[in-house]
Amino acid sequence: MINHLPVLIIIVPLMGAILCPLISYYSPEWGKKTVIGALFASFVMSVMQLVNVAERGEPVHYWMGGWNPPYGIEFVIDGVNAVMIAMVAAIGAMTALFSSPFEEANPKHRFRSAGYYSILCFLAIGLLGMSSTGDAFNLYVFMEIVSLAGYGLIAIGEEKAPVAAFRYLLTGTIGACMYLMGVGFLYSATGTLNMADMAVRLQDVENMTVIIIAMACLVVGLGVKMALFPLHGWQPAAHSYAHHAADPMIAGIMIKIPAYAMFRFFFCIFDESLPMMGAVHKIVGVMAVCGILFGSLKALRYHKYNKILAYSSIGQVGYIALGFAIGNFYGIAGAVLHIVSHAFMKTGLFYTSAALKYKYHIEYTDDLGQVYRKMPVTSLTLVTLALSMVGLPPFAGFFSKWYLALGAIQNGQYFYVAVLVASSLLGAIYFFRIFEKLFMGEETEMEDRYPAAEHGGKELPLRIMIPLLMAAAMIIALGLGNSLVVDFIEKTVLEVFLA
Amino acid sequence: MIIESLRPLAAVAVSLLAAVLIMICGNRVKPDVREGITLGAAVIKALLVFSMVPAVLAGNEYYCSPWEIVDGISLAFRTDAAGMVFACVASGLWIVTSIYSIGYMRGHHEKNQTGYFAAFAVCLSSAIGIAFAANLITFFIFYEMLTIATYPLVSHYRNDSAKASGRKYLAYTLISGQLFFAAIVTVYVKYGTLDFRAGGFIEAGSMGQTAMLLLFILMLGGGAVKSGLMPLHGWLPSAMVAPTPVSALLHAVAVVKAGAFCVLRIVWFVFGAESAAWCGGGRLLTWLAAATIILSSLIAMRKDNLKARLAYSTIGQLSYIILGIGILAPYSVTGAAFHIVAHAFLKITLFMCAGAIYVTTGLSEISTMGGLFKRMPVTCVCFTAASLGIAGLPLLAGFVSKMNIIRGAFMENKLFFVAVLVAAALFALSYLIPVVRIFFGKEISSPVINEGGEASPAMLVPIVITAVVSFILGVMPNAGPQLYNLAVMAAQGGGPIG
Repeated sequence: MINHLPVLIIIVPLMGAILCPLISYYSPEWGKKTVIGALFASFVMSVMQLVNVAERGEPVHYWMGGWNPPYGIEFVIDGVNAVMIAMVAAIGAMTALFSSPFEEANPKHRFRSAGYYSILCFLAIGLLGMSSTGDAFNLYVFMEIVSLAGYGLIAIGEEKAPVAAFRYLLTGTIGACMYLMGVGFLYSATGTLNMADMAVRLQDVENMTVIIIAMACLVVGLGVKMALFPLHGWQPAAHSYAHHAADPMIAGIMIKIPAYAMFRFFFCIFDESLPMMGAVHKIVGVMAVCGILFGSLKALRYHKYNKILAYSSIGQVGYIALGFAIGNFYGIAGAVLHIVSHAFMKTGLFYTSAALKYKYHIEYTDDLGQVYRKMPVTSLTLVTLALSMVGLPPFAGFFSKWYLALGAIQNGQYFYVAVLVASSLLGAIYFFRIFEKLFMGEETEMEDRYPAAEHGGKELPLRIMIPLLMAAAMIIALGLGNSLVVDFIEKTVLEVFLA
Repeated sequence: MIIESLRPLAAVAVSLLAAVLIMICGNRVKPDVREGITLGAAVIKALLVFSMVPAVLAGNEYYCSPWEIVDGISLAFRTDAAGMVFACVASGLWIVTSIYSIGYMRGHHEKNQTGYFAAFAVCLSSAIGIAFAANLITFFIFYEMLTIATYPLVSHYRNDSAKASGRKYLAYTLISGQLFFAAIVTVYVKYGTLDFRAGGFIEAGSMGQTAMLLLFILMLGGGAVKSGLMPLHGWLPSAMVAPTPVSALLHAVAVVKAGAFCVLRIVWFVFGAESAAWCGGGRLLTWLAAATIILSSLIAMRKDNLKARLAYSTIGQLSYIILGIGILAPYSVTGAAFHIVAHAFLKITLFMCAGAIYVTTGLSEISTMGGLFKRMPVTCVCFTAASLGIAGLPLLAGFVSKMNIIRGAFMENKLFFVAVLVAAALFALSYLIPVVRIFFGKEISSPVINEGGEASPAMLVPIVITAVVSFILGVMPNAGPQLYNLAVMAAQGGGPIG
């Protein structure tokens, strides 16, 4: 079975997603359990795969149907994407668990819940596929699965959600097309879609114009998907109005895996010897810096909790892009670490947002006054994750910033360090403002929709509290154990520089 | 000799565990149990720290590095002499402050005591972490933890003025902290190490003079803010809105001392005397410190609020430490390290007196305290003794440290600073002695002074203990854990006193 792990990680949830509507027709409860079970199975397998990759010390190759590359589709699992897959599977499973109290509140239970879980599972499948594949076109296919699932999950959210979903549909399609065009240009120049093969054949390509156009298309295409400034237009609305329970996943990882794809193209397929690569890094650097500052400044303007988090994501995606722009080992290590740590941070913060809505329907930070007395677990998670977002030790956010700054100074890019510092301080302003409201604000009268007295003294259902605490625990673990992650990805990243 | 031992880590971890325990128990258990956890942790911590003193005095060091905290650098703790000085003061005074806190918080019927005691415990963990950190990244982690853990204490009352001073505190500390961070990364890239080394690891001439001065300023910004060096002192007086034990903690034990200790670590163990002198950073420090000493004394004289007056006195006294370090002579550094001890005991006595007066009589303005000796004789006597100590009178702890700093300044031929130090002693007398005169005056300015009696024993006992210790340290600086010898060792860069 261990040989088939790479594909099983995707097939199992795929079966779950397809079976869920069928089972739900007879029993919605079991339909839900199918999806949650499939995603947990996928998570367990992804951890096994992680261990396997670590033990082998070299990438695992899986040939779909036994067709060898470059003709068949290949999954390649190395140090970097083994981590990504485990992260996606973990957040997918946690979010599916987290969703159930939200879906129970739904009156049209049977069809609605079947659709919801199925689409949520497809979102996870798409992201898992994007991270696993070693084929540029296959990545596009999975990217479209992600986008379609994303449109659905955003559209079933709040009142304004359909508009946000439509907006994402338009920009997202353009982004996907740009990516596809980029891949098309590369295919025309190299005659292959397999990433490893493409990297080899690019060495002999003489027509550089095609490559440069392809690069531009890829930056724009992936930039839209990862909401990199100035291609972020769709993101704030989508993240603010999406389905409450699915939002953590949309905000946490839907924008991260395109960033991982950017790493694949920038460092594994293209390399430094290509002309204009330096310029591409600079352009991405400028986008990143503008995004970091724009996102942080914009977040200061809002009082709606989700909006603050959404704009903060634009800034944080900038951190990741900044790591790629720095482009040395520590820059990339910082970026990869930030993909993982920010995924857990943002997912966790959106969990807290959903939990606040679940219990008190709090949307604006002004209503947070004294909530910490009533929701201590949620508040504790919020504080931990927010401190990590600001980049304070000993939480994960500090250490990704450490590696990014280290990489930047090694390259003599002091300006980037200044931007990181400024962004931390701006982040401190909007997060400490939330703390002030939470701990020192005046209490507002709110209807408690989950009274602790009726539920054995629990502030929220366990299915909400466990994912919350898991996110906080992961941030502490990733912070204290960051050198393990860096060691794990070290070999893969270093190979980039040997090639 | 290096002794591999988990004791330094345990000393850091014990109060962190206590904080977690306090948070979990919260209001579910009786306050007695909750405070029992605090006291228990304080005693265990102090025992752990003091148990390491003899070996350190013999020239050994305990070392422990549990795991790699970032790629290539370990989270490492090492108990050198300088760290021991700070750790002994912080852990010893935590016991005293805890007892006092219990008396104060209950006497004053404060709210949110669970959060208060938890944050307090985290502060102490961070302080010990700062003391024992063996490299800059470990140091920075605990330094930032201290910043965050102090924030809820500063804004304890949660009203508008508490919020404002909390914001001010964060603005100062977070900005300087982030600059410190950038400087640490730069040092790591340029020099490939972050381990503290006696005499420093940054060599003079290894980068441009201006560049190194810039690095020096960025590195010391964090320390200068926390130790209230002018013009970065703004947060300290406004943090006075916090409960008095917090002020005592801020001013005497953890926060400002962590700042001063940071300056000592960076100047003496990262840059070293030679580089600090070469880039001009030492001179910058001494001039800023001298200006702070004079200006803060002048401001202190005009404050009628007792805590505000003490706050400005703290700013001035901390600059003594910085001045001692900035002079860059071993004697002055010894004096500076010992002043961490001396000022801690003296200032905590003063603050605890101010708090005791406030809780017992409700008075906070000096002009309303006329004749207080009649009602609170013990408190007034302790206050007087500590005041004289702050001014640097012989037989009290402040004298030992100040004499050493002056001696260092003489040896470096920096006569101007000798004059500053002497003038400052007179200034200190001039802002504290009037308070004492009012206490002992015949005229009774508030009717409350004729009622009731002394402060409650939970507050009075700590005050007497710290006052007596200040006296003992003034007569026998080497009493108990031989803190003076440790200070000498710190300045000489390790090795037993031979």
